[in-house]
Formats: sequence, structure tokens, C-alpha cells
Amino acid sequence: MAHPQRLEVFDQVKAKYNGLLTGALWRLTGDRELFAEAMQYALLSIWQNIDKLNKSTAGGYIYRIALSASSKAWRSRIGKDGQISRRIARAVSSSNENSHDLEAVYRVRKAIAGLPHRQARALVMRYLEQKDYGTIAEILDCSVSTTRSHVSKALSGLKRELSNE
Amino acid sequence: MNDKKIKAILESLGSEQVPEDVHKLGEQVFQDFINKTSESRTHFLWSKIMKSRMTQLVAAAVIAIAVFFGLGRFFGGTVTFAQVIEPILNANTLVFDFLVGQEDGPVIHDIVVGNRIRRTFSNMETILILDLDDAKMLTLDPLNKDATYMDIKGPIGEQTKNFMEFVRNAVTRLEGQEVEELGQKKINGRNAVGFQVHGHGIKIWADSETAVPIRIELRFGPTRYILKNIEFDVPVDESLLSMDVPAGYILCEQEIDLSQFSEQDFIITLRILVKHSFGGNFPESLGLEDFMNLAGQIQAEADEPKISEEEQVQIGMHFAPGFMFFQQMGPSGIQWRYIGKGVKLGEADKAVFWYQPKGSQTYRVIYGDLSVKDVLPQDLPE
Repeated sequence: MAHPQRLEVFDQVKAKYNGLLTGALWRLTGDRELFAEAMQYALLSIWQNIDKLNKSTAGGYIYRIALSASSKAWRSRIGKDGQISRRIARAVSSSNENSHDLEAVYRVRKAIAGLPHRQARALVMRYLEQKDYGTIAEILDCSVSTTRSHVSKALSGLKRELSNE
Repeated sequence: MNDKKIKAILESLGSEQVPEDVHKLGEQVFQDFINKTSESRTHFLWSKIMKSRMTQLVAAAVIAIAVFFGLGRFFGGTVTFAQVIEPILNANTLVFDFLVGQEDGPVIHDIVVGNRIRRTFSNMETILILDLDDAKMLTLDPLNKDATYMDIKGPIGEQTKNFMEFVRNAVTRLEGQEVEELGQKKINGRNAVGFQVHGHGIKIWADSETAVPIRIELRFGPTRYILKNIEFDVPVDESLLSMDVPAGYILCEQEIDLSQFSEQDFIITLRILVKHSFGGNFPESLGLEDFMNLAGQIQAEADEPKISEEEQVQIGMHFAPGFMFFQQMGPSGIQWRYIGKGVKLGEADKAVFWYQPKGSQTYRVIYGDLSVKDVLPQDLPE
């Protein structure tokens, strides 16, 4: 795709999905610096995959990009053997007023980033975006029962992952 | 953690509203991205490019050409002395080895003909050919037969030019300086006489018969530089300095502009450096040789990097401009200090670096977690 055309499509994609992307990345990171870094990765990914995003199935792909971007941002953080830094810990704590212990919130966010893509997307849409199963099924282009299965498997995956730590 | 708790956390995350400033931050990131994208043909952006071996080589090459920043200003006077040896010093060819730090550190080998330089390295495969008149640099990767051009207009080209002038005229520029004789010694079988220039931290050893310098030692801030094996007017195959892409090489269309660099580039570069060269502990001092060693490491690992894909992208995007940001501070008159000794990466309460941006009344202080704050002069950390 020619550069000017790519810019035009990029701008359209951004206008359409900005709210979704911002919301998903914020909920997956909970920290401004992490969020900014994840947003950079997401924009880069959108730019590189602009052809895929110029289609009706773009919505599902945006979730995939958001998850991948937040995962990269988390991984690139220095936390000494994967441990959360104090600054991020504070940020996580302050971003979660319901105050589950911050380590648990951090671990959940990190674990979501490690889930298989479709499961993670279904989980994020169901819980972080609070969408109903029908809408999620439409975005993921699968049946409602398959969507439920993805969410269920994602929860099991989280449980398994979080009990292993 | 049980199901109930996991679901409760997920639901609490889902009910959280995105703060207004986060929306603004997202918009800012987008605008920055668009701005860079608009200049995409000349800037560091594309992930695919950034992960390429060539980009890693270019990032490392920047370190290699920016090592000369500030060194040209040791002597400010004009040349008015030594008419006899001046023709020798203005010889058509000049060859020397250049080291930063210790004698056993990476060696840069320069062949200079007129205003062109062919630069090779003991710790990297890359070959650089610089045309200082046109401010262009041809970077060659002999292993993969890749070639790329870089624009070196601005400080990089000017500083390199100044440095070459300094080397050519090192002896004549001793005029008017307070010089102490260091006596004679043999250097590579040649009788050499030494001089120490007070106030500049410079030692020069010159051939005792021709007065042509054969070894120069400089100290600039915390960093020591050594020029050795200096030779003038040696026969050189000028095709070695051709700016044409050699036969068998493929020209990468990517062009890179080195005039853009920012604090953010420096911070990311600092993180990469501390993580990979010092195991997450900030070093005792921050010097050019640290960046050079990392550049060698990046090159050595270009085909099989030991770092993550994201960090490869970060290196491609930020390493060269981040280093440029650091290296131009001194020559630009920016006051800075590194105070990271004993600090671990992630320690938010300990400062590691400060500098005063031009025209600013406050200082920018970088902490161990790489956060940055504006600080008043009286609050500057020790």
C-alpha cells in the first residue's frame, strides 16, 4: 500500500478504534508509562498490519493487537526476574481503587498477557470491556457456545498460571 | 488464587474508568507516531527494519562515528607555526588506530584521504566510509553484503571534521601552550619524543626526527582516548574510500537521519545498556567505552540476538539517537553528571543522572527506575 494511502487508512482505523484501544490498554497495564509504551507497540502493529484492519473483521484484530502490545510492554519492563518495580507497584495500586492486593492485580494482568490469543481476547471483552457473549461471538466470528468456552478456558488458564507462581 | 478472586479482580478492572489524562496521553502517543510516520523515510520507526541486522549494524556504527564528539576543541588557536612540517601534516593520507578507555579495548582503524575516511573496527565487521564534504556515510556489512547510506549533516560530520583537523595539526597547535617534555622512548621501533600539554590532559609522542606525531593520548572528562600507530602519507588504494556501493553488495533503501535525538531515546538506551552490560546495576561511571562495548555486543549478536524482539526494536529505534543525545551534551555546553554508582535498575528513589537543558532554570533528573523529574538547582541530588 502506498504511503499516503496507508496514512489515510491508519487515521480511519485510529478514529474508529481509539476508545477501544485506549480502554483495553489502560486496563491491561494500569500504569501510564506502560500504557504509553503499549500504545506505541499497538500503533506500530496497526501500521504494519493495516491491510488486515481495513476489513470488517478488524475489531477482533484490534483486541489481538492490544493484548500483544500490552504483553510486550510488560515484558520489556525491568522488574528483576519478573518482579514488579516499586514505581509500577504504586501505580497499579493507585489505579485500582477496589484495592485487591496490588501483587494479585499485577499477576492477573501479567497472566492475561500470557494466555492464548483467542482466549485472551474473549476474556478481555467479557470482563474488561464488559461485553455480552453475543457481541463477543460476533467480533470473534464464532458461536456463542465457542465464545463461552474461550472465556472458561481463559479463566482456567489464569487459575492454573496464578496457582503456579 | 481462586476463581472468585480472579473474577473479582477482572470485574474491578473492567469497571475502572480510563482517566482523562490517559486519554490525552494516548492521543499524544498517536500524534508522535503520526509525526514520525510522516518522516518515515528518514527516521527510525519501522519495526521490521529495526529488527534487521543492518539496522543493528547502523545503530552500532553511530557509536563509532560519534566517538569524536568534542575532541576537536582541545586547541582553539589557529595554526601559525612550523612552516617546515606543515606540508607533512597536511599530507594527503593519514592512517591511525583509535582506542577509547583501556589499551586492550576495541580499536577503530581509520584511513583518511582528503576528506574521506574509511573506518573499520576490531570488534565489529562493519566498514564505514565517510565523505565529510558531502556529509554522507556509506555503511557496509561484509557478512551479508548489505550497504546503506546515512546522512551525517550537522554535529556528527562537523565534529569528525574538527577532529581530523586536530590530529593533522596536533604538533603545530602546541605553540603557545604550556608544554612539558616527557623525554624519549621507543614506540614500535621508532625513536619518539614526548610532550605533555598542561591544562588539556594531552600527551603527544612524535617521531624525534620528523616531529610527526605517532601517538596521542587524551583525557576528556572521565574518558581516555588513545590514537596510536599514526602514519602520514602512506600509500593507500583510493578505491577503498569510494562512496559507490561495492560490487556484490545490495543497497538497502533505508536512509537514516542522525539529527533527531531526545531524552526519551537516551533513557531507553540507558536501560538497554544497564540491563545488558551491567546486569541491571548502574555502573560506577558512564563512559563512551561502555557504549562502544555494547555496540560490539549488538553487532556480534546481530544474527542470533540474545535479547527479546521488543528490545531489538528498541535498539533499532533508540540506541543510536540515545547515544547521540548523551554524546552531544559536552560539546553543546550542557551541564550533566552521572551519579548512578551503586543504584539498581528499578530503584525509584535514587537519582542516576542529571542534566540542565539549554535555557532551562531547572534540571532534569533521571532516577533508577528511569523516571524523570524537573528539579530546582538547590534540590539537585549529590
